[in-house]
Amino acid sequence: MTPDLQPPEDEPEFSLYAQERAVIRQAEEMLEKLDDVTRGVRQLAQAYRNGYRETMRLVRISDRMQLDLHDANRTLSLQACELTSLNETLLQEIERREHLERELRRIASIDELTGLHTRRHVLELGEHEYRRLARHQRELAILLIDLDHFKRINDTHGHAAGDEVLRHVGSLFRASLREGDIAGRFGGEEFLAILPETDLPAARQIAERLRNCLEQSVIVWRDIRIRLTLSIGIATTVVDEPIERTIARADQALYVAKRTGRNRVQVELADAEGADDWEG
Amino acid sequence: MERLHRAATERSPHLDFDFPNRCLRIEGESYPEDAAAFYGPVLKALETFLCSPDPLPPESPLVLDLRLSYFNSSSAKALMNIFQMLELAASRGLSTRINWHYHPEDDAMLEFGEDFREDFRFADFHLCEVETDLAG
Repeated sequence: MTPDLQPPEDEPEFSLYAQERAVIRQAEEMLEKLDDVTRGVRQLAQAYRNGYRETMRLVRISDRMQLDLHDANRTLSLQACELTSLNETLLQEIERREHLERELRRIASIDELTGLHTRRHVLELGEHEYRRLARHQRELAILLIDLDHFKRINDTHGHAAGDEVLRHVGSLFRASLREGDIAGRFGGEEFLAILPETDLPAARQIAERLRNCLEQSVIVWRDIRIRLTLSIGIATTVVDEPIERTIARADQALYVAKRTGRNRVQVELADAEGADDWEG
Repeated sequence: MERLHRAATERSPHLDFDFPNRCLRIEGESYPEDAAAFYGPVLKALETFLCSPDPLPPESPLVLDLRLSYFNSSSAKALMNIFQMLELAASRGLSTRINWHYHPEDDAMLEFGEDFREDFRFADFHLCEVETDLAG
């Protein structure tokens, strides 16, 4: 602002106070302009205030949402941890069950006392072996074995002694049979051996060896020396005959072995004899 | 003044500004990819409506129903712009009511409503608890 202190040229008449009036007028004009500036600054302050309030509110809202997000994250982490531990428990449970299943299968397939296959399992294995060999037109021999006068051992020395005898026979079978032969406990003191790809003469040889082994061995139980013998019936498979039939023929041969004096190996007869009752 | 309608999408709310009946409504979740693109035309339309000489006889109030389950910061800014315009209109004599709906279990929405309410002197700002969940 350049102060113009000269009296206006269009002043009609000279005044003694022209100079002062001009100064006053200019001072008033400056005040008006100052008012304008003040108004402008006020508006600016108001705008800043509004903006400031909005920003504060936005930050509050954002903080609140972040808090929720953080909570949600923490919950998720906890849930993930829980899931992991649940998963571990589940895995342990699966392992436990698998172990149990293996154990059950073992119990179902292995006779606890003798370590031989159970009746059910030896029949399964026999069936499988029979079908495999039938495809190749090969023979299979079956030995049905019964301990002679086993009942007397139980009656004389008790069942614990009987169990020891069965254990001994089991390990004897496992030691004497060839690899690939299948041995199982068929009943109380009855055993079944399946000899794949074995003809009658070879089967007889193996049976004789078994019989001889037991005859020669002495079973010691609590300082008692127990000796016993066994009888064996042998049969070989015929094409297209169910394995049960072969076992039945071996059973008939066993019956003959028992009836003709025990401690014997008997090969199946050409024509089967009648099966009378016999004492084991 | 024509009615402005936007169907809800995954990230933007259902919006229905029924200017002829003075019923405005925003519902759902609001976190649009481009908040300016979504709310820009809405703000413009509202401004046009509020500045038009005498939109309707004054006896029926202008009502804005808000029922949001989530909104992001950009949407919050847009809401504040809307609130500012409504408050200004209310200060000039337009009867204005804002209903802020929130689920009883949604503490955050209640707090946001309480926060927004502080700025209103002329328009009525109501907090309304609603049990039912938003559909979709």
